[in-house]
Amino acid sequence: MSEQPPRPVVLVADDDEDILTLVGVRLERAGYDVVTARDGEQALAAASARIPDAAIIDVMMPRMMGHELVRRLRERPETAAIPIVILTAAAHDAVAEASAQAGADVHLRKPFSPRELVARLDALLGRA
Amino acid sequence: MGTASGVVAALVAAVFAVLVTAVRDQRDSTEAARRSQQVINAATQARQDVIAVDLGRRGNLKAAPDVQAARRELESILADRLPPLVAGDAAQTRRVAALAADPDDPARQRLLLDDVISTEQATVERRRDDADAKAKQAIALGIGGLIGSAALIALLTTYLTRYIVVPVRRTARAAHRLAEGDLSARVPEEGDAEPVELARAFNTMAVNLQEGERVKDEFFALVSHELRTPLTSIIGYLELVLDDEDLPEETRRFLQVVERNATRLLRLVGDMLFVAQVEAGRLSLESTTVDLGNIAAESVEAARPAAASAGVTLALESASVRPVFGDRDRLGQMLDNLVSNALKFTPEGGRVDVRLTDAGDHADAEVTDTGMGIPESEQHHLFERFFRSSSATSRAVPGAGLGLTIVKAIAEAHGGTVDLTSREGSGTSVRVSLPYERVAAAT
Repeated sequence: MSEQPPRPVVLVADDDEDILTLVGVRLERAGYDVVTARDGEQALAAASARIPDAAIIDVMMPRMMGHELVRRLRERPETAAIPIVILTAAAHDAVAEASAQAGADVHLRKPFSPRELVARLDALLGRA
Repeated sequence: MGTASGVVAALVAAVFAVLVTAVRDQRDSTEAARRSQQVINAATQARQDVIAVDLGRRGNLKAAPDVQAARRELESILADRLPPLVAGDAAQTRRVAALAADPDDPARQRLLLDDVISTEQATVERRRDDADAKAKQAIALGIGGLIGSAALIALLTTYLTRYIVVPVRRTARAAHRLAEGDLSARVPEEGDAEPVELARAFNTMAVNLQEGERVKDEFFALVSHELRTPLTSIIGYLELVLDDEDLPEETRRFLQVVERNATRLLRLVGDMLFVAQVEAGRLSLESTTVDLGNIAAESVEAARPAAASAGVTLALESASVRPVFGDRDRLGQMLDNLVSNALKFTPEGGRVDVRLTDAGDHADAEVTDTGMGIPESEQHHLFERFFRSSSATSRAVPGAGLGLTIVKAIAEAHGGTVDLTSREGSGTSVRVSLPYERVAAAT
């Protein structure tokens, strides 16, 4: 166990407590360290305190919407290139387009399978 | 508008009144002329009698029978015939009275009678001229009135057409469009007061309908959206819990039931959202070149467990068809819907056949079952959203009535068509035709 590589840090931002916990538990079981935030501003602060290796961001959040958060993260050199997954419950294709424009790598529609989310993240980070 | 028709009516009435007066005047003047003629005749006769009586007196033939007869006749004319005939004329009455008062002055009598005759002749002349003038006036007035009425009627007709008939017809056309589902149909609020009121009422109704439709779509999308977040939690946590290998067997079974139902709910929400998207015109396809054979095989494989547990034989007969250009996931969803529909309505021991055939310029995917069939009266409702056949409701077959709506929407988005044939009691067959060369109109 001492030979394990450092656990990647994932920033998870969602205003829904249950989803936050669900994603957090899933990621921790899959070997990630999780930093959670309940809105965009909290997420930005958390990303400054501990630079994440990836981020999972909900579109609809109070104070700062997901897309804006993605743009802000992309502006910072330390998070400009990290993989970002956007989550949304919206059905419109326009939202997916906005995600891509803001700089997200993956756009996942709710309901998503946590297993699938982990698989996508693993792929983005080049983990087996 | 009301005033205009009132004017026409008044004008026509005036023309009639003038004509009726003219006719009555003509009749009165004829009557007067006849009476004057009688006066003239009687006076002429009396004059001859006066001469005869005078001659008899001078020749001492007073007693001769014809002189006696003339005298009697003269008396009768002066006493009985003339007075009533000249009753309305004071001057003539005075002359007739003077005649009767002076029986023994023939010269004066002759003069008086000449007066009576010439006065009466003058009266006749005057009356005739009067009547002629009035008739001419009446004819002129009548013709003028008729021309005026005709012109007014023409004006009125033009007005009616332009401000009533045309606007009403326009509203009727818009109502037809609205009935055919074009909720943007509006009518210009032009014309007379009533058509404008009609147009305004129509526009208000159309706006309300459109607004209602929009609110419904929004509600639909919102509800689906609000259902997805909790469902994500339910299914996600179930997945976490079911990962635990030490779970007691019974708990696992119960949780699997929860998971199955949550998934079903999720599918329903997805279908509702899909239909809302289609109705809002926001369905977009991610088109690539796809192999229908693969998609059909996947749908059939996915449905195998359901078919097995229902005791229904499920078979795929797939001819090689050319690839089509379309959205792989949507086409799969379409075939899944068709197969699961067929399975739902087929009793144990029946069969469901999926057949893929090449039909020249298009591929046909046909799903045939030996199920209960659909009554003919319900067949044309089948593609309406939320419609559920009586056989589905009476046998408590689960579903929201969105399956075929989705099938049709996907087929049409690919430029294809859906045909359904069904015989009650012997089965249903749904055929989707997808063109190889998709027309530009489909997106």
